[in-house]
Amino acid sequence: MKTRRTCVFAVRIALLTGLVVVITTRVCAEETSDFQSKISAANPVAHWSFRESDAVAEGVSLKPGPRSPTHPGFSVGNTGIGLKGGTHLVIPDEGIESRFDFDHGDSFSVEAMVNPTELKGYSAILTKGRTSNAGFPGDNQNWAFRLTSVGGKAGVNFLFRSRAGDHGPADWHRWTSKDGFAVGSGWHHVALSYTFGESDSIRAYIDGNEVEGQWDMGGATTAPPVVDDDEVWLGSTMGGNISNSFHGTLDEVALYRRVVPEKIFKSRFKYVPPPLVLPDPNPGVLQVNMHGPLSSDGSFPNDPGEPLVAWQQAELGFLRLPLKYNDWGIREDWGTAVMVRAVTEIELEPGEYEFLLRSRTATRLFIDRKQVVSLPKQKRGGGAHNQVKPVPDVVRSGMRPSAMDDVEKIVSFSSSGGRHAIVLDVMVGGPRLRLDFGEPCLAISNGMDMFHLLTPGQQSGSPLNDQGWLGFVDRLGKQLDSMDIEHRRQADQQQAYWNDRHQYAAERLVGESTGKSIDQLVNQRIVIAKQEAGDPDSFFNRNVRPIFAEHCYRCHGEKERGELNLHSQENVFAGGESGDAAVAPGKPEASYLMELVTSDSGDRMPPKGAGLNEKQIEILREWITQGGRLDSAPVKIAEVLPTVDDLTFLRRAWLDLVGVSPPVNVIRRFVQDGDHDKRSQMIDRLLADQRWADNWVGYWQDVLAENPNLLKPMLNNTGPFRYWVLESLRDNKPMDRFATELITMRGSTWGGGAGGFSVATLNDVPMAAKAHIIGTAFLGVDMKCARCHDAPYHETTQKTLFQLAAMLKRKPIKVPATSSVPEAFFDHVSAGGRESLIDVTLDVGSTVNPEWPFEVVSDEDLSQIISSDQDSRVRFAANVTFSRRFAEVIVNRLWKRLMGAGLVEPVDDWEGHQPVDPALLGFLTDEFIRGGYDLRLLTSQIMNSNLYQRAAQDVPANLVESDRFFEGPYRRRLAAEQIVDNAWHVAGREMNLGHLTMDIEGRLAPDYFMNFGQPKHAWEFTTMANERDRPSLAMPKMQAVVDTLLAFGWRNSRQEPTSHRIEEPNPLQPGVLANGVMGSWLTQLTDDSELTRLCIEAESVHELVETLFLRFLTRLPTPSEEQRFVNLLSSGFAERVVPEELLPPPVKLERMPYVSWSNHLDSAANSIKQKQEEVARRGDPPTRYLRVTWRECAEDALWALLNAPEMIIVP
Amino acid sequence: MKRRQFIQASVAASGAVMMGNVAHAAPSLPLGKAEHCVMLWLGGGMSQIDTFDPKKRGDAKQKKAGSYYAAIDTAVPGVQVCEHLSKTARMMENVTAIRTLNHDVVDEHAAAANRMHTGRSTGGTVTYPSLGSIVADQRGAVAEGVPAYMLLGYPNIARGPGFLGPKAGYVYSTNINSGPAGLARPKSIVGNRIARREGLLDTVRNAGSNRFAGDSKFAQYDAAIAESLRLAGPEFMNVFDLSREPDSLRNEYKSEFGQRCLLTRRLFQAGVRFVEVSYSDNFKNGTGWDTHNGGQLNQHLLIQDLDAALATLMEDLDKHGLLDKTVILVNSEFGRPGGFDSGGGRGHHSKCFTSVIAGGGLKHTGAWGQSDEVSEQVIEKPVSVPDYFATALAALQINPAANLYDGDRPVPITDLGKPIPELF
Repeated sequence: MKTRRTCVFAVRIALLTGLVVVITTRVCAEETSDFQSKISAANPVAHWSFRESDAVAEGVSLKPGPRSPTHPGFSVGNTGIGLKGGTHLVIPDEGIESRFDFDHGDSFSVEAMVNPTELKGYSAILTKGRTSNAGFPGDNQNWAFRLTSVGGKAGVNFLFRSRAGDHGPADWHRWTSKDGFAVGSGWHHVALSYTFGESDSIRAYIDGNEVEGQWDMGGATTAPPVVDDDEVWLGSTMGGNISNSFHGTLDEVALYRRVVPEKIFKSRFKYVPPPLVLPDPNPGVLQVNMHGPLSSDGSFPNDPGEPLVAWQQAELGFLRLPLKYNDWGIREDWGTAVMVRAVTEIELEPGEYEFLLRSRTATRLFIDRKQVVSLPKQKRGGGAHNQVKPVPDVVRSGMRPSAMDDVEKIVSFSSSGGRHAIVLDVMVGGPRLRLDFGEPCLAISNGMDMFHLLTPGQQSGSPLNDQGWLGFVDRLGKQLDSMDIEHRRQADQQQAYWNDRHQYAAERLVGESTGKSIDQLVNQRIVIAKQEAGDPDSFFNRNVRPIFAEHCYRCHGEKERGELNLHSQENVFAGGESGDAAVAPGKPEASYLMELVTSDSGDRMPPKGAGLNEKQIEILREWITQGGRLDSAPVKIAEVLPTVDDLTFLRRAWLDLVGVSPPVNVIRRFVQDGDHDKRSQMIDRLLADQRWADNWVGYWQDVLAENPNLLKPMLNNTGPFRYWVLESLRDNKPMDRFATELITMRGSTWGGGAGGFSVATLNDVPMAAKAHIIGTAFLGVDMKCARCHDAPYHETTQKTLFQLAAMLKRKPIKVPATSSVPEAFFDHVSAGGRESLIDVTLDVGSTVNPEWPFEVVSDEDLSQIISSDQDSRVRFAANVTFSRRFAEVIVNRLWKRLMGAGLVEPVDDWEGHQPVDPALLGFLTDEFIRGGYDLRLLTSQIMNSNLYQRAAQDVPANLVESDRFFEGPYRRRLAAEQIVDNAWHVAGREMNLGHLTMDIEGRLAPDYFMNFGQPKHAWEFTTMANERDRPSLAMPKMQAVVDTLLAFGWRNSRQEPTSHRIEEPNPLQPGVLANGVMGSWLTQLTDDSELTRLCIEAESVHELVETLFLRFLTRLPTPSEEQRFVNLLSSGFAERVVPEELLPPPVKLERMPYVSWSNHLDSAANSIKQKQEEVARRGDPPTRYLRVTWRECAEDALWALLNAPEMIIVP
Repeated sequence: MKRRQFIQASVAASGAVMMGNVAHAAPSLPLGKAEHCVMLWLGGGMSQIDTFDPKKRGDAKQKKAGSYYAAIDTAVPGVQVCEHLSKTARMMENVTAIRTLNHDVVDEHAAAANRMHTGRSTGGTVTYPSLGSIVADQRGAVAEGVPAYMLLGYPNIARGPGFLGPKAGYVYSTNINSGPAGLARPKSIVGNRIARREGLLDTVRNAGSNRFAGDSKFAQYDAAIAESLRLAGPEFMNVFDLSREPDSLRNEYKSEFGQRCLLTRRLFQAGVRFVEVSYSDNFKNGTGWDTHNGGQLNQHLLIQDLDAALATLMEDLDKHGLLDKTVILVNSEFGRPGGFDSGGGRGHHSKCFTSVIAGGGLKHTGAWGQSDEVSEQVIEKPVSVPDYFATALAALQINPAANLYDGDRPVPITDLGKPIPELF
C-alpha cells in the first residue's frame, strides 16, 4: 500500500485543557481550487484542506485561509485551521505498511501553507511519533516537519530519530534552514523533501525559493529512522506541549511518498500584495482601531483587515493598549506586535500649520491620504552602556519634552481651509519587546503658539505642556479602564457553569441547617466550656500541663507519634509503641516517660533544643509520684464584650473592607443617621466599593507567593498575576472558581493572567513549589519540608508533594538531586549525638507519577463537575475545590482576617489542629457553599453578627487554642499596605511617583524587565532589586514607600507563601513614619494636598481641629488634645492665608535627564539619581498659600496625628 | 520497640563510623574573640588579579592574560599585592587574602551577591538570612538601644534577615549625609519644632493609651515609639556626625567609601555589632567593580579608595583598641578572569577568586591558598563559601555548627562550613 488515497479520516481533536472530542471530518475538497488541484496532480498520499464547517470544535476552528486576490489560486472564501495552546489533530496510524511510515530508502515530501502568529520553540506542522502516547517510547520520531526561529524569523525544520544499529546508537537528526520569513507577515508556503538514508538529499523551500540549511543536532546520517504504529499529529507533538506546537493558521498540508520535483514546489507560491487601504474618517469622530498580529519584521500592512478592538477617543495620543481577555475573563497576550490606527477628520482655517508627531515605534502619518511623515522602528536591547542624554529640547517654551527614546518630527502643512483626513498608524511591540507605548501623539500648531493635541473637527485639544498631557493621560486612562472592565465581563463565558456547579455543591457538600446563628453558636460554646472546665489550681494544670504544652503535645497529643497520646489517661498508663507504661502511677523510676526525658543519648525527649531542665524533670517526677492523673484543662473565659459605638464600628468596618478610614463627611452623616439598620447598610455599601478588591490583593500576594521581579528573574519569581487577583476580586468571582483559575494557570504568563502563577524561575521543580503553595493556601496542608524530606510534624511525604507537582506539570517528574538532603547533613546531626528527625524517602532520580494523593472527591462528583478524561491540572483543581476542606479553609481565613484569630490555627497548616469551635466552622462553611462561594456574602454575614461589632479584646502572648472563645474579636493591627494606603488617604494625596520599571523606554522583553505602571496602591509595589548596588538603579521615590511597607512586615520578595506576616513592633516602624521620606511628604502642606485646602477653608480653629481628628483617627479630640491643638493653631490663624497679591510664583522643578537600564552604567546616571534622591527627600515644595509660621504649626499637628499609635490599630 | 533500641538498631545498620559519632560529642571547633564585624562590599566583583592576588603583568590591548598593574611586596614576606594597595601592604600582618574562594554562580550579579551574603545557594523553600542578620540574631547589639546591624548602602533581599524576620534586619543609610533611614529626622525639622511635635504626639499617645488601656498590641507599639524617639535623639544621631572627627583623619579615609568606614568605627563605638559598607562611587570608572570593557581604565581609582579606606580603618580601629575585636571582610559576589574581554576589561569569574579577612584577633598569614598563574584555578587549599562564612562566624564567637530555626525547622547556620583552623 503506497499510493492509496482516502477521503475520510477519523480525527480526534485533543484540546490541551478541554474536552476530547471525536469527530469525523471529510478532508477532500468538494469544490477544488486551482491550488488544491495542483496538489492533487502531484499525487499526495494525504492532503488536508480544512474546508468543512463540521471541523469546528472547541479550541480548533476554521479560520480564513489564503484567499484570492492576494493569493491567486485560492478561492475568496478559502479556510484553514486555527491552532493555539497545543491544540492539534490526531490521525491514527494504519498499522504495518502504513502510508505514513517512512523507512530507510523511502522518499518523503511535505508541504503546507502556514500563517504562524508566534513561534514558541518548535512549531510542529505535521509529525509522526513522539506523541507521548502510552505504549510508545517518548522519542519515536519517524519524521517531523516544523518551523523554528532562525534569527527571529521562521525557518523550516526537519527532525527524526535514527534506530540503533551498525551505524551506532540511536540519535536525533535535525535539519534547520538558514533563512526564514517574518512571523505575522501573512501566509507562506513551506515545503521539504528528503530520502531517508541519503543525508544530502534534503531540500527545503519557502515561498518557492529554495533555502540553504544544515544538519545541526546529531548531524547528518545514513541510519534508518524509527518506525512504529504511533499516530500522526497535525499542529503539535509531545502530548500537546506548548513549546512544540503550532500557533496560528495552517492550510493545504500535503504529504508525498516521493521527492516532489523542485519545479513543482518552486511554482506553488503566488502573492499579489493588496493595495494600500485607508479608511474614510467619520466627521467629528476620532476612531482608533487596533490591528494584529503584525509581521515581526515591523512592516506596516497594506490592508490590516478587521480590527481586534475599536474605540473612540477625544484627543490623538496613546497611553496603553486595551487589555485582551479570554473566555474566562482572564488577561491574555495580544501577540508579538500590533498596530493602532487613528482615523479622524479635522477642519482648519486657511493658513500655515505645523504638525508635531512623537513616537518611539514605527509610525506613519497620512494627511488627505498622502503619507507625509514616518518614524523609524523602535530601538531594542543595546545593553546598559548607552550615554545619558540631555533632556530633549522643545520647540516651544513650556512644552513637555518627548519621552525617552521617543522620536519627534515636525512637518509644515499649508491648508487652503476646510476638512482634512488624518490617518496615523503606530506600531506597538515586536520580537522581545513589551507592548508598551512611550508618549506618542499628534499635535498641531499655527506655527507660533503652543502645540495642542489633535482632536476631530475644529475643537481645540490639550496643550502639549505637562499639565495638558497629564490631564489627557488621566482621562484616557479612565476611559481605557472602563473599556477593559466591559470587555472582561463580556468575554467571560463561564458563569453558567459555575452557577450549576454551585447548585450541585449545595446539594452534595452541605448538611442540614441547625438554624443557629454565629452569635448563638459562640455563646453556646462558652456555656458548655464553663461547665466542663478543670481546676486551674490542680498540680497537673498548674505545673505539668505547661511543660506538655510546650514540649510534647505537638507530637503526642495533636498527633500520636510512637502511639503515645498525652491527652489520654488510658494511653499514658498503658504506654505507646514501646509497650512500656509512659507513666506508672506513683513510680517515676518505672515510668518510661522519666527515662526518656532524663536520657543523655539519642533517644532523649523532647528531641529539639536542650531538652527539659532539672526543675521541669522534678515536676514530672513529683506528678508521677502523686499518681500521674491528667486533669481536664481549665479555661479562661472573659465576659462577653459590649458592642462598640458608631465611630469605632465605622473605622473598623472601613479599614476591614476598603483598607482606609472613613472620610469626615461620611462620619458626620453616619453619626447623625437614625436608621437602626445603618451599620448593615454601611457594610453593603463598602462591599460594593471597588477598593474592597484592592484591600485583599496584598493578602493573596502573600498567600499565593506572587513574586514578580523588576528585572532579570531570580529565585521563585513569578509572572505578575496580581492583576488577575485584583480583577477576580473586583468581579467577585466565586472562590472555588478563583482557586480553579489559579491551579489551571489560565491566561497570560507575563501580562497579568493567572498564567503568571505557572512560573518559578531558577527553581528546578517549579510545580513542587506551586503544589506547596496550593496546599497551604487552599487545603491547610503544609508540604514545605516535603520538597527535600519527610518531616516529623507532618504526615505528608515527599511523594505526596511530587505527585501533586506531576499533576500540575501534566507528566511524571524526576526527583532532582537538589530535592534531597545531603549525607553530610545526617553526619552533622549524628555528630551532635542526635538521631535525625527527618527521613529522605524519595530517591534522587526516581520518577513520580501524576496522582491525586489525598482524600478523593467521589467519581460521581468528579464526573458531574468536570468531564471525564480531563487534563490533570483540571482534575487537581476539582479535587481541591470540590472538597469541604477547601471551603473550610477559605472560611477560616476570612474569619481570622475579621476576628483576629482563626477557628483553626495556623490557617495554612491544619495538620494536628482541631477547630476550636467545629459547630461554628461547620455553620459558616455551609453558608459559604450555599452562598455560591461568595466571599463578599460571607463577609457581610460575619460583619453583621454581634460578635464582629463587639469591643476587641487583647491577644495575650500565650493565648492557647482551648482559650480562644471569641468573647469579642481579637485586637488586630493594620497590614503594612493598609498603613501606607491609609496614610496617603488621610493626607489627601495621590501617589505620583513615576513608572515602576527599570526599562522606562521599553527596549527589553516582558519576561526579563517588567513595567508595573504608576503605583496608586501599596499592593502595586515590588522589590527595588538593587542587588547590583548601583546608585543609578535606585528609585528614590518608590524606595520611600517600599521602606515604609517593609518596616511594617510587607515582603518585597515572596519566594515562598506565608499567611503570617511578622508584625512585632520595633523602633523602625514608628521611626519610618515619623522620620522617613514618605511620612515627611504626607505631613507637608503642599499645593496639591487636600489638607492644605482644609486649612484654608476652615472657619474656626475648633472646627479645623475636630475635622483633623475625625479625618485621622475617626474620633473627636479629648479635652486635653483639643486644648493643646487649638492653642497651637490659634496663633496666627486669622492671617494664615497669604493674600493673592503677595503669592510668590510657584517653584519650578528641575527636569532631569532620563536614566534607564540602557544608560545606567554611564557615570552621569549615578549623579542624576543621587540628585533625585535628594529631591525625593525634600519632597514637594511647601504650599505658597499658607504663611510659613502657621503652616509649620499645622504640619507639626498633622505629624503628631499621623504618628499616633491609633493609626496602626484596628479599633 | 523502644525508642532507644530503634536508634541503636539503625545506627548498627549504618556502620561503625556513625556509632562513633553518636557516642562522642562533636570535636570542638576553634572560636575567636571578636565582637564586631564589618563587611566591605565591592559590588560588581573585585578583580583578584588586579588587587590581592597579583600575577605576571598582562596586556589588555594584546589580550595577554595577567595583572593590569605591577605587584609590590608587603609586610608579610613572600606575599605580594598590587601597587595600588601600598598602604594595606604595609599592614599585611593583620590581613589574610583568601585567594582560593570559589562558587558556581557567575552569570548573574544578583544571584551571586545573594550567595556571598548568605553563604548559600538559593534553595527552593527557604529565604536564607544574610551574614549580618545571622550575627545580629546570634549576638544582638553590643550596647543596648542601638541597632545590631547597619547597612551603609542600598537595601536588598540578599542583605536581609530572610526567615529570621525583621528583628534581625538592618537599619540602612544610602549616604553619609542622610543618616539612617527611618531614624534620622528630616533636615528641615529643627529647633523647637522637634519638641513641639513630640509634645503634641505625647498628648495623642496619652489619649490613645486611655482608649486602649490594657491592650498589649497598643502598648507595645507605643513603647516602640518611645524607643524610636530616643534613637532619633542626639545621643545616637551624633554618631553619624563625622564633623566631630579631625579633618586629617577624614582626609586619610579619603572617598565617600572611606567616610563610610570612618562612620563604621563610630558605630562600633556606639555598640553596633555588624556593619555592611557598600562601595557606591561607581562614577569614578563608570561600572564600579564590574570592570567590563572601559570600566578597567580607571579601576585603579577604586583600588586606591579601597586601600585608603581599609588601611585607615585598620589603623583607626587599632588606635581605639578595636582592631583585634573587629573582623573586617572585603567581599564581592565573584572575581574576574586573568584574561581580557574585547573592550579591554574583564568578565566575571567565580571558580577562584579572592576575599579578604582582616583584624578580629586572628592569626593572619597575609594570604591563604594558591591560585594558578592567571588567578583562575585553585592550585591548593581551596576555601568554599561555607568555609569562609564559618571562619567569619567562628571569629565572632558564633558556633558555625549551630542551627538556626525557621519555625520548627532547624537550618544549619552555614551550609556545613568549617573554619580555616590555621587562622585561630
